[in-house]
Parts: sequence; structure tokens; C-alpha cells
Amino acid sequence: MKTKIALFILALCPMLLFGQRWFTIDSTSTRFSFQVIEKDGSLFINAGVMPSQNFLPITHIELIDADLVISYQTKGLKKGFDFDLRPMLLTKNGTLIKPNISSLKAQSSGPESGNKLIWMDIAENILFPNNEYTLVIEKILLGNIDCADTRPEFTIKQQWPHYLAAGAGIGLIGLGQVFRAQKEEAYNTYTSYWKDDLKGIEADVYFNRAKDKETDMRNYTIAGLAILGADALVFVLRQLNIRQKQQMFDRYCVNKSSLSFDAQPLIEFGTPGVPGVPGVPANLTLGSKFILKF
Amino acid sequence: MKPYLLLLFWVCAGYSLYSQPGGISCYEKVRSDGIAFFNNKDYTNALAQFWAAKGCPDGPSNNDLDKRIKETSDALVAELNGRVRRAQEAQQKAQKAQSEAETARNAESEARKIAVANEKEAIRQGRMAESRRLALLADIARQRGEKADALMLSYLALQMAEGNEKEEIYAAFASAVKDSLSRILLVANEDIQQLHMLSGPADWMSAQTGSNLLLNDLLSPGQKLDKAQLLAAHWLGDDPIWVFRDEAGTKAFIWQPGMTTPIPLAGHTDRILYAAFSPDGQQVVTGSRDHTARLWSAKGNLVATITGHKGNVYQAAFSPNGQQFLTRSSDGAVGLWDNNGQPLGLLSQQGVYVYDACFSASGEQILLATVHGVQLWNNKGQLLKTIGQNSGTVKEVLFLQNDAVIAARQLGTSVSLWTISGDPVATLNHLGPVTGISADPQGKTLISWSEDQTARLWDTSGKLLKILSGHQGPVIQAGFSPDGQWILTTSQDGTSRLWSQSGLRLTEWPLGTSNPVPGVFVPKAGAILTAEQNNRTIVICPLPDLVLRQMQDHAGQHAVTISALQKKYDIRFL
Repeated sequence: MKTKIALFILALCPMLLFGQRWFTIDSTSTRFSFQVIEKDGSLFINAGVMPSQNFLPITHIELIDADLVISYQTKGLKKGFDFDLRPMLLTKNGTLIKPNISSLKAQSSGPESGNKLIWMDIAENILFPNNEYTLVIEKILLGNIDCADTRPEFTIKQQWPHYLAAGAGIGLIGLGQVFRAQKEEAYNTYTSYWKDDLKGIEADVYFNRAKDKETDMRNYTIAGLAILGADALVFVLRQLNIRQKQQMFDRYCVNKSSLSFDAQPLIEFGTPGVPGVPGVPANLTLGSKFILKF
Repeated sequence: MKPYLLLLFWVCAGYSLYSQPGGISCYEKVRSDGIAFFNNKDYTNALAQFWAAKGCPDGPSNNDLDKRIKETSDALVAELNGRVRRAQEAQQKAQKAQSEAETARNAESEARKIAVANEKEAIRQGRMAESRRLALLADIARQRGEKADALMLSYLALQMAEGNEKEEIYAAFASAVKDSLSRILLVANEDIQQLHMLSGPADWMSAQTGSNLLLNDLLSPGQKLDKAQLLAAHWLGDDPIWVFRDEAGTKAFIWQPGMTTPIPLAGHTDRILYAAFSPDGQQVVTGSRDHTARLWSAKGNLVATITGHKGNVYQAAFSPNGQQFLTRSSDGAVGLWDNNGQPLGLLSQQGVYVYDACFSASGEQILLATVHGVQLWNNKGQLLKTIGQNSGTVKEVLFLQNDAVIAARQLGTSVSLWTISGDPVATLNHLGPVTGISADPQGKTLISWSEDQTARLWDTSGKLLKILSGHQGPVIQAGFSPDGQWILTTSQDGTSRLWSQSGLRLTEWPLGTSNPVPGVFVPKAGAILTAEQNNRTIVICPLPDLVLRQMQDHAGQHAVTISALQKKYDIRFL
């Protein structure tokens, strides 16, 4: 039994070679200026019309129970990608306020509607009536390729554990064949005892040995095949994964103009229009999205 | 009298000469003697001779004796007048000399006095200079890590200092105390986010980290409550009692030292935002995002569920007598309830958003900080007055001076003071947004702190007492010690600073972080707690006044040390 468990764990080893990490593929930011107004003891947001956005469009912002509720859609997000929304608030005097992680709550019920990012209790300490604010939402596209790294390759270094596993699998199958030969030899001895009319304990010993060897042969052969099969499967999957990454890398890291979303080109120098904050406001349209922040 | 006796003598003598037969003429002899006396300016004898000659029987009838007598008398009078004049002059001179001698004596006395005073002043100046030198030496020793020397040198400097300079020297002593006597209370595994001190029969510290609550009585290793976030702390008799919430925030728990498991306060369906104990610690009210507040006994029994709010319940507060409590919600309403959870009234019925609410010290009045100024209510739910309706949003309110004055922190750079009857007292201005206010225990001094990197002390008439300047970043917290003698400020520049009541900076703690946690006073132990080393270490430092008293009480024990220091640093005027 222990042998079986050990062999099963060994067969799972190639799976450990897989790992999923998320990297920032690209980012864009959307800004909404609004004013907080008070009516009948409650606070509301006077946001105006939402600007058009193609990536993770924000459809609505509102104040509910002193919480800032940001509604957005996830349509257009392709399979294999994820996203991150990071809201920040820019006050009129140029202070940038970032929320604590504990004050953010996410609700999701579908790509088209019902996605909400909630900045809790914002009206208690941050948003005040009759003041103007700018909500800056940084939208980050996440993928499992790192554009800062080199093009993904299935390197020999990454391959050799598979060869090692395959070797182990083949070794186990070979060992199974050895046990098979030993089994046949024991069984032939047993049948020869019968032919020679020598019955009794001596013959049973060989029969039992043949049975044990058959069991070992089966276990090792199955384990070897399992390891070999799993390793081959993982090898192929990794190969496919790498190819997919290479395609993504080529698409999103080498030729960024083919991004799946229409990012707003922007170069920011300082904080435009904010008294006391040095900087020159500048917007520059480029072929792809590009942000410089100081 | 004497001249007349002489005259009588010479008359008798003349007569006897005259009566002697065959002698020199009496008249001639006596007259010529008189002339001789006259010529010798012996007018008295001359006069006597002339009178005697006049008595001589042999004198001629037309003699010149009357003329000579007159002449001699005049001369005598003139001489006597001269004597008198000279005597008077001598007297005047003597008086003058006496006067001059008196003046000289006075001058000498004055000079002695001045000399003594100068000596005293010289000694005083010398002691002050020595005091400053010792303070400087203490700072140098402190920077060298010679902490014991630094402490004793600054102590000696303080003993020598006088008057206003004593306060300045006190700063060196406070820094030496901080460096010499601070000790690490505990080291946390994750960032400390908040320090809280529960003072009463003992000192209990609560340190909130990202997920744990560390409780410590400053004597024992303390306890760690996993995945707990502090909501409130109080005393229940002589025992401390805490309410904390779990990581999700929907469950609160009551905890006391010695408990094996905390008592759950289950019932809220969304995150619990606030908790407040009654003054006797027997009840606690919790406010939640589920739009309810719940009143619990200290044993964890639900007394009442407070419904009626249409928004998150952000604040709750008991009246000083514990008979009432209020709840403040994001729906713009403040509910007033009795201690059984029965409604007494709904404040802020005019529908204005409320940011803060507090009871007066008497418990009879309630102040609300609203979007449109301050509202004053009585504890029966009646609006008494709206103050500063056009002054904009008020974020925080306080009662001062036995409920006679109201302080209201507005959004922006000012704090307004009003009388309880609504008359404006003063507007207290900063150069940047004011981020908080608090009062000393007597309610006589207000401290406001701001993004302008200062904290400011004001009296209740609005007079600026002192600007606590020197921080290099916005001040995020400031407060008086429970005895009102000290002020502790914490700034985003990563330091906490200790100030005297008069506003003199005494010492500072570099906290080693850009996200500092405000330090707290430890009243019973007379100390200060700070979170240092990137908010991973809690350090306790005794207040300098306590250390000074102890050193003065045990001055005799330091004699050997002082003697050694005296030689080492060539200390004078000791």
C-alpha cells in the first residue's frame, strides 16, 4: 500500500512543475470629476456623464450609505487574462488618497452588469459635501506573461525534470519487466515440480513467489506507465502553455499596438491644475498606451 | 564772664599800684600796658588795662581812654565776630565733612551690596553657563552612547538652571531620559497599526496589528488575540474589559484577562463599525453596517437591537451617567435611547448629515457636528439651537470649560469657538487643513493640529497660547497627558514629540516609518508608549518629571557618581 501511495505521489510530481503567476500586461486610468452634494441628510455624487471607455468600462459611480460604489463591466476581457481596479481620489488641493485594502469590497455577478467595487465609509472621512473631487481608477490588465522578462521559452533546464520523470517511468516499467521474468521463472519452476510429480510445500513456495512477482510487476509497470503518461501529458501541456505565452508575449509585449482594449493615451507631468504642485499638464496621443508619472 | 573777671583783676591791680607811694604813674603804666596788649591784639587784656587806667587817680581828665576802650571794644567785637564766623565756618566744614563721610559710608555700603550682588550674579551666570555646558555635554554623551553620563550630566545641568532657562535645559534632560531609560516592551511580528491605553486601576496597553490584538499590562508578557480588531476598552470594576471584532468584522467578542474563550456578541449581519461602553462598563453598544446598533450586557447578553436607522451606524456614545446613549448613522440621523434600548428621540430631524455627536459633561446637552454648523440638543430630544449654520461643514465638536464653550472643527483651516448660547467667541486659524482637536482634562486649553505641520494651543477665549512647530510633516495626532502637564504630537514626518504644557519641545522619538502610529501616555506608570522601528517595536519611556523626582529623592545615592563626573568633566559651580 505504501509503495502504491509513494508511486502515486511520484506520478503527481510533473504537475508541480506548473505554476500560475499574474503580471501586469498593461494599465490605463480613467478619471471622473464629481461634486458631493447633500440632500435631506444624505450625501450624493453629482458625476455627470461617464466618459466612453473600452476596457473595463465604468458605468456608474454613486454614494450609498457613505460608501462610494463604482459599477463597471468586464466585457472584452479575454480568456487567460485577469484585471485589477485601483481607485484613488484626488482632492482639489492635489492630495491623492488611496484606500486601505480593508476598506475595499468587490461584488460581481456577471460581465455585463452587477460588477461593483465599493470603497467603504468614504463619506465619513474623505468625501465631504460641496467639494469637488476627481476619482482616478487605474485599470490593470493582468496576464501570465512578464513583459519585463525575456520571451518565454521551454528551456532545457525546464525540460530535464520531465526527462528525469520519463526516465523514472521507463525505469519502473523496466523493473516491472524484470519482475515479470522472475515471475515466469518461478512459475516455470512450479509447473516443473508438478511435471516431476513433486507436490507439496516446495511447489507452493514457487507458486507464491510467482504471485508476488506478478503483483510487483503489475505495480511497477502501472506506476511506470502512469508516471510516463502524466509526464508526457504535462510536458505537452507545458509546451502548449509556453507556446500560448510566446504568442501572448509576441502580441502584447513585442507589438503592443495590437492590445485588445483601446487605452487612453496619456502622458502626465505632475498634477495639472493643482496649486502648489509643480508640473505641466500634457496629453500626448501615441499608437499605444503609455503613461509617465512623476 | 571771664573778660569781666580779668577787668576786675586789673582794676584792683591798678588801684594797688596807684596806692603804693613813690611808684610809676598808675595811669601811664596801665594805659601803656593796655596799648601794648592792644598792639598784640590781646583786646581783652587791653580793654581791662584801659578800664583800669580809667580808674587810676593820676590819670588826666582829658584822656583818650574812652576812645581806646571803644576802639578796643570794637576790635574785640570784631575779633569775636571773626571767631564766631570761623567757628561757624568750621562747623559748616565739619558738617560737610560729616556729610561726605556719611556719603562715603553709604557709597561703601552700596558698593558692598553691588559687589555682593555682582558676585551672586556672576555665580548665577556661571551656573547658567555651566548648566548650558553640561546640557551640551549631556547631548554629546547621548550621541556617543554614554547614556548614564548623559542622564547624570543633564540632571546636574537641570539642578543648576534657573528661571526660564530651566525649561530649555529640561529638554536635554528629557532627551537623556528617553535615550537612557526607554525599554522595549514588545516586538510584534507584523506592523502595529494602532496603540491604545486603558487607564484606571492599572495600565493596559492594546496594540492593534494587521490581524492580531496584543494586550499587555506592562508587567507580564501579555496576551495575543488572533484575528481580532479592537473596538473599545473599559474598566468593569477593577478588571479591564475589551470588545473586539473578528477578521470579517461581523462578530464582536468580549474579552477579559483570565478568560479561556472570548464571549461572542453574535447578531450583526454586516461589519461592526463602532463600540462604546457605558461609564460603569456594564453595557456596551455596537454599531454596524447592517443599519442596526445592538446593546449588550458586559456578560454578552443582547439587551436590545436598535433599529430605525436607514444607514450605517458609525458612532455610539453613552451619557456620563450611563442612563442614555446615542447612535449616529450615515442616514443623517442621531438616535437617542435609554439604557434599555427604548427610543427617546431622533435628533437631527432637519435632515442634515451628521459627522460627530457628543454629550456634555452634565449629560443634559448633546452637540452634533453637521454639514450646516453645530446643533445643540437637550437630552429629551429637543433642538435648542443651531449655531454657525452658514459656517459650513463641521467635522468634530467638543464641549470646553464646563460646557460653557463649544469648539467646532470645520473642514478647512479653522476651528470656531462659540458660547453655549451661540455667541461667537473666536475663530482659530491654521495655515493648512485642521485635522483634529482635543482639550486638556480641565477643558481650559484646546489643542488643534493641522497639515500645516503645527499643533496650536488656545485658551477658551480664542487666544493663541503657543504654536508647537518643528514637525516636518502634517501633524496626525496631538493630545494632553491625563494630568494636563504634557503634550504628545505625532507627525507624518515619522516622529513623535513631547512638549511641556507651555509649549516647549522636550524630546522626540524617531519612529522609523513614513506611516507612524500615534504614541500614547501611560498615566499610572508616568510614561509614554511609542511604536518604533517601522511599527514593529513598542517602546516605553518614563516621563522626565517622574525620573527627575526619583533622582532628587535619591540624591544621596548619586554622590559618588557626581564626584566622578565632576572630575571627568571639570564641573564647576556645583
